[in-house]
Amino acid sequence: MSRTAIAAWQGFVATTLDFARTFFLVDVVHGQVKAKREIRLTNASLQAIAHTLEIAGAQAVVCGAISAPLWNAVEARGIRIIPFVHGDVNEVIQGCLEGTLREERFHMAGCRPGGHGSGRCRRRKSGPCCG
Amino acid sequence: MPDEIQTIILDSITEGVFTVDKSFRITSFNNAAEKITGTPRARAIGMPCREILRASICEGRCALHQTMRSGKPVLGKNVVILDAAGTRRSISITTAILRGCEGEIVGGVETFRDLTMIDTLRKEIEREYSFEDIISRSHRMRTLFDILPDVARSGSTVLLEGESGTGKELFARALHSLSPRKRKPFVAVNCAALPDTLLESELFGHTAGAFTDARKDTPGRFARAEGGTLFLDEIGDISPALQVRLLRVLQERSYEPLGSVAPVSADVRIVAATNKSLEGLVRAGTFREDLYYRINVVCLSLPPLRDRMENIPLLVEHFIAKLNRIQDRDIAGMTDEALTCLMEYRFPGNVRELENIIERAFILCRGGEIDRHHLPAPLCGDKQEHHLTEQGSHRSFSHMEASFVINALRRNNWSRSRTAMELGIHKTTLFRKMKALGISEESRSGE
Repeated sequence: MSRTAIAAWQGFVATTLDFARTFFLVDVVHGQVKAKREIRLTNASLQAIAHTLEIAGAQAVVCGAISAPLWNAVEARGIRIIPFVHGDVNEVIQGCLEGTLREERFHMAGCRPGGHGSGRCRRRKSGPCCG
Repeated sequence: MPDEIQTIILDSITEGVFTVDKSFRITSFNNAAEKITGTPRARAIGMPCREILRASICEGRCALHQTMRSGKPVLGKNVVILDAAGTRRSISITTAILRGCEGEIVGGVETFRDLTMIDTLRKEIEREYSFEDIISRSHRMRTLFDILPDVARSGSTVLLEGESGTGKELFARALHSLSPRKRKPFVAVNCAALPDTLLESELFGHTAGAFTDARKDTPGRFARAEGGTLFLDEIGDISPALQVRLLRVLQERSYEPLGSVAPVSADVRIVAATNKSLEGLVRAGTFREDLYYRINVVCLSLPPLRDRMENIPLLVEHFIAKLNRIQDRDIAGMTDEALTCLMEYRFPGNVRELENIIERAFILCRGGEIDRHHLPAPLCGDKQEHHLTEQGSHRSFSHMEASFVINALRRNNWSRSRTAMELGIHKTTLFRKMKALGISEESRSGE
């Protein structure tokens, strides 16, 4: 089973992980969604976000933009970051399962394709991110 | 006014300006907005503003939304945004409504000022650092980060152990800013910097006439830190006499200023730091055991930089960005060769030494990337020069990676499981990496 967290706001992927308060935890077994539940954060700090994702058992987090300190805090916990995703949460879950998150419709604006020195704007690798 | 003239006017101002239609899609975006957000105008136009600005208030407390709903402008609201490179920037925003010819609402306009430089300078001046100012992705530091908020809230006396330059004061400030005492003063004293008699007066203050030239009552650092945190750096260097006085403050929560017989109560949290082993000093009889146990309620050991070499690229990136901001420069980064030199260095002066090295390189590097010849000579001596020339830049990166993995293996006594855990990767990934880099058990025999 794999567990992926999706930072959400009003049914869409939250624009910025740093300021996200709602997450969907999606459990996938053999390419099928087995469970989807919502968690809400009350503490707004970056460490609290990273810590919550870790204790929730997330192996990956799908999000919009992410700051360098949060990137480091999440990555240090061994959680894979799938950044600069945009769109409806259910469509994104489907995109994860089908490995189609690289499609233009899931790309967030404002990211410089081709990457930046810090790697914050790296595009996603192909292949499914859930399961 | 023709559109071209409007564009010229908007592009000539230093504040970021963008306009949105009623569905919050960007309709214009000036030069300064491009610069602050890092997003080109062509990409921003037509996009929802929240995807470009990525502000802390976009999802939930949007100022433009509020203005368009209430008709009232929002003035000078300070928020944090994420620019295209993932940097958090402080900005101040002001919003207003855009109306059409008939007075109907057609959208909104937001102007914003970049406060990052002001914020950086304020932090530098006030030395007000938070948790997020500690740059690290190492496993050992992460463990510290996890317990730091709980330790901060507890109010207990904390002992920070670590070599010079490992960031003890930064941790002490982070502990203070995470604690309920954060609105009260943080006062730092370097116990090794003052002779004993002066230190006593400095800590506890003195009354008029306590000694020659003591013409008026002077509060000490304990009084100045009242309600807040007192950071006692290099506590291992204080004299036995002062140890007794300090012990009394910790036990009775009161002290007497020099020349006074009236005790003054002290509501101060003590955070002490040392680059020596206090336990060793206790065994040697130079540090009081009872004081040691009073101070050592919670002990945090900060690892030296050589034990968390994986942080070096991150720290280099951080210091380059910081100096670019402060000095208004545009240094692009560091070459692989220069980074290799840094990865092979032992950093006896820890993070402070690394920061000084980068600052020195900024003086020598006029533009582009910091190269190895911008580093001090001991870091890139002949031995490395020969080595690098022979291997070329591509292989130097592999070499850097190999030395990084070997260092991690050494720290974990060549246990692959523990090393993989420290590096935050699976042990099969580590095994694959070792194989690709030609690292085997034989590499150990050379030690």
